[in-house]
Amino acid sequence: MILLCDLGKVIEEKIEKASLGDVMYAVPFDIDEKGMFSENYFAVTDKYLVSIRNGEIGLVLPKGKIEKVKAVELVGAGRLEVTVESVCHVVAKYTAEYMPQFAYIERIVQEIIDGEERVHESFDESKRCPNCGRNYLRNTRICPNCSDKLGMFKRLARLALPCKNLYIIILVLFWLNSAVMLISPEIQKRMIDDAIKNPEGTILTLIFFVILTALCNMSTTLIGIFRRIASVKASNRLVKDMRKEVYTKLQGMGIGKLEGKKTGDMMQRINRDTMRIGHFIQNIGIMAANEIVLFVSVAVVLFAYNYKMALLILLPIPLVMMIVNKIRSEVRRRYHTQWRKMDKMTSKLNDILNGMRVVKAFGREAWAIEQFSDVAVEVREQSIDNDRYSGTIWPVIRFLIGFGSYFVLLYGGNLVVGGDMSLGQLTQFSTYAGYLYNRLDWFAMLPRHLSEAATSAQRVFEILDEESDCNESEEKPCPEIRGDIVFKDVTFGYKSYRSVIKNFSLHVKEGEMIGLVGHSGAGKSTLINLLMRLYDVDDGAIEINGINLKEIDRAYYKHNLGIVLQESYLFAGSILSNICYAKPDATVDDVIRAAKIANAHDFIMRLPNGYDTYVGEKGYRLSGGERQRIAIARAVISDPKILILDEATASVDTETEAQIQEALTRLVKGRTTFAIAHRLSTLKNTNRLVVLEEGRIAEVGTHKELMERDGIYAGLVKAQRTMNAMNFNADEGGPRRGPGGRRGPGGPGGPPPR
Amino acid sequence: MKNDFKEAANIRYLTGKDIKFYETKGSLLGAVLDGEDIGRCDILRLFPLHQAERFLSVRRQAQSHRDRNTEVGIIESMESFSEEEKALLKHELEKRYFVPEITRVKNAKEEFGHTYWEVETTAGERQFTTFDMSASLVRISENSVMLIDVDGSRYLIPDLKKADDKAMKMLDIWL
Repeated sequence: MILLCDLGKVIEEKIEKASLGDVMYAVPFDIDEKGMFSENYFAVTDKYLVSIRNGEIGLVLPKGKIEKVKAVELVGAGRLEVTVESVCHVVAKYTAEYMPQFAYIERIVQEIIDGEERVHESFDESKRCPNCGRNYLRNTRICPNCSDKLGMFKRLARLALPCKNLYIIILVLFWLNSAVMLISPEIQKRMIDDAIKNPEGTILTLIFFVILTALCNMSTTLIGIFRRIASVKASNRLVKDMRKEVYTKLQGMGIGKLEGKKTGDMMQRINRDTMRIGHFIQNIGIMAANEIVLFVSVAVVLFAYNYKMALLILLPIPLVMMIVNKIRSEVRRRYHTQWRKMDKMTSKLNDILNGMRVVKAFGREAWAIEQFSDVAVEVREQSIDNDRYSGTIWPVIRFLIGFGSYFVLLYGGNLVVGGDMSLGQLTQFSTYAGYLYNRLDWFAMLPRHLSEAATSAQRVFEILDEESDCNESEEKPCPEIRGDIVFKDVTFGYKSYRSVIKNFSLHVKEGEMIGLVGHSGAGKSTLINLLMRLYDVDDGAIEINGINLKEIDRAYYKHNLGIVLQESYLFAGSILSNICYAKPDATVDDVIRAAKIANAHDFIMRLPNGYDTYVGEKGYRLSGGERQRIAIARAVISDPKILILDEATASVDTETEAQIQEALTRLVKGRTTFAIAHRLSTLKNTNRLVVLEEGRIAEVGTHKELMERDGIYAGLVKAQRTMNAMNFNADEGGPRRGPGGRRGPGGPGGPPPR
Repeated sequence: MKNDFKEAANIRYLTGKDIKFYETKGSLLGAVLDGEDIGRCDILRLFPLHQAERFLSVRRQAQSHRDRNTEVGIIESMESFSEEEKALLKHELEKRYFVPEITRVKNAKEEFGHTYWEVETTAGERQFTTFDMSASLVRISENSVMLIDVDGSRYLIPDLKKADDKAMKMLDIWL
């Protein structure tokens, strides 16, 4: 973060002249008082906070008198508010670009208010290129304007490198084929002139030429078969490699990035776009190498034979090239639009299918049909429009390309009649001309293929270019994870300028059970996300056994982590494979033990297929409690040292909760455990309760200590008691239950601890 | 049933008779509600994209960092307020919702999924970058769209019919 930017000589002199002290921090801001873009700075000197607008020193506030500071997030912009002597001043207004810097400045000024001033280092983390001011490509430090341009097609060629031997074979086969093609018209000419038209020609000569022609055709057929076999092999390998690469990249991507992406779109990129690129490299890239060679060879032969007729053939080509060049961007735009609409349709379908229960529950089937048919109609119309366009423009171009052949027939026919050219020569020439036109036809179609490939490649590279949210570069093996966890001044926000966890410090001893309590949005789940290393902290550190979490091998760490979430997702497969998920090499004994600890063994044994019962989307329908117990077995099987229970019992009925609680009590023994629960009764076994409020620790202590303190926790307990009393009264003594014996979502359940 | 539904929500609609607005010493917005000075207020649009000057939530600023802003009522329309108050409210909204209107697109270039824009706006000249147009282009109405750049800043194209060719060429695919 750049916290000390260059103010320029003039401003520095003005600050010095006004005796405002030494500048410690200075950041730019870009909106003036009238709401116009302008160049302004906010500086913190050793004595004052100084606002410099349009080169002039504006508001100056003495550091000693600051009462409050706040970086307020507005819509599309932000402002820094500083309160001095009960008057709140706006000292800077900035676009979203500067929000991270001002969030930092807020912390610095807050430290001044608290009398805990520290020195903060300024470092370059700008998202813009210092040379041209353009944004770097997302999550990279590549400026498309200044950096060495790595062409899209160079990158595509690089993708084909692993199969280069196969491609060389294909290319050689192509060239062999072309050589035979070049010989064929010569044989034809000889056949006409020496055997058919020649009065001295014998039947043997004719048979010889017919056999020669047949041999040529046979060899092109054979070469074609081998070439296709090699192509299919190369193409499939390339597509598989690319899909694997994109999929691996997606798996490696932080949860923060994945959450911003649509499932349908991602599926399209992995399936369709990779296939298109594979098709392009195989059918277009390799073919281009052949087509160019063939085109040049044919042109040379044609000019060598009769340059005048060759020129006639080439006559319409400049005009065609001009037209093709003109329509290229239009073709690209049209196909881009069509694909985008198809993505939209897939996403919409995905959305509606996932939400089918809600659609049915609210009786909105007609709406769902309408929603889908609207986008389906858009796709249809765009597709018809594009096909109509292609169906018209390409035949016209093809006709224009072939226009020269009429001149050739006219001119050549005249030469034949005049006796200056043999019929065989004219036939040979026309065949070569046909070759040339076919090549041109192919080149004319190239823009369409190029645009298809470029769009697909762009979409695939977008994924491949994404950087992981969590930096793995400094990871090293950790001797042994024991579960001693220290949070050191941890600050984190999903957006760097909006901290969700603020200066969070806590030492959790090995084997300790911590209950996290707080209102919704207080930061409990975020803290757990950080501990699970779904995200890396922005500032401060989480240390496990004294080692920074960022430096611990991720796979090893996760192996030592057991997680039970509110809604546990089971993958399609047997119960056995789901329990083994966290430890693929688990023995049968491990699995049964894990299931027993999780109180799952008995219900599994009641199922006809026992541990082999197929679960998941199309499998056996387990109840919420059953799924949860399998999730607990999955969490415990690797004997983790750290356990995370995020609302593990929130969505089950009281009876099941009791069974799960019993399982959890067995589970947490000897493990460092973090538990989140809205139902405070589930936290009664914790060693310490940590009450979070707006990302900070508000209270820490045992249940008893916190009740005596009569703070936030005590308030929450009382509120739940009141709710419970209300529910009991309403239900005449029974706990409130939703349909099927379950409690309604979020409804408080068992009595809170007393 | 209808009445129950209405009462359960307990909305208070504010008019010029209930609340008076004034400018604080630091040039921010303050209010007097039912004769009581409630200090600094925030004005938030309920429908920022579709109703710029109607349905405004008046929120009393939190007294300490532990409290949250609380809504004191909703202004359905500014009609009942004095001209001076209307100006104050509009100014406050302009400050909160910083969405310059694009008046001319000088250049727009697409590279690697990023679009680099050079534009003239109602707040002056600006260069910005959008990434993944499917996410950064928000359609507000049949004829207006909003662009959100990689940092989160917003730019409005109020009338697509009047938008220049360069803008339309870039946007056409996504509309």
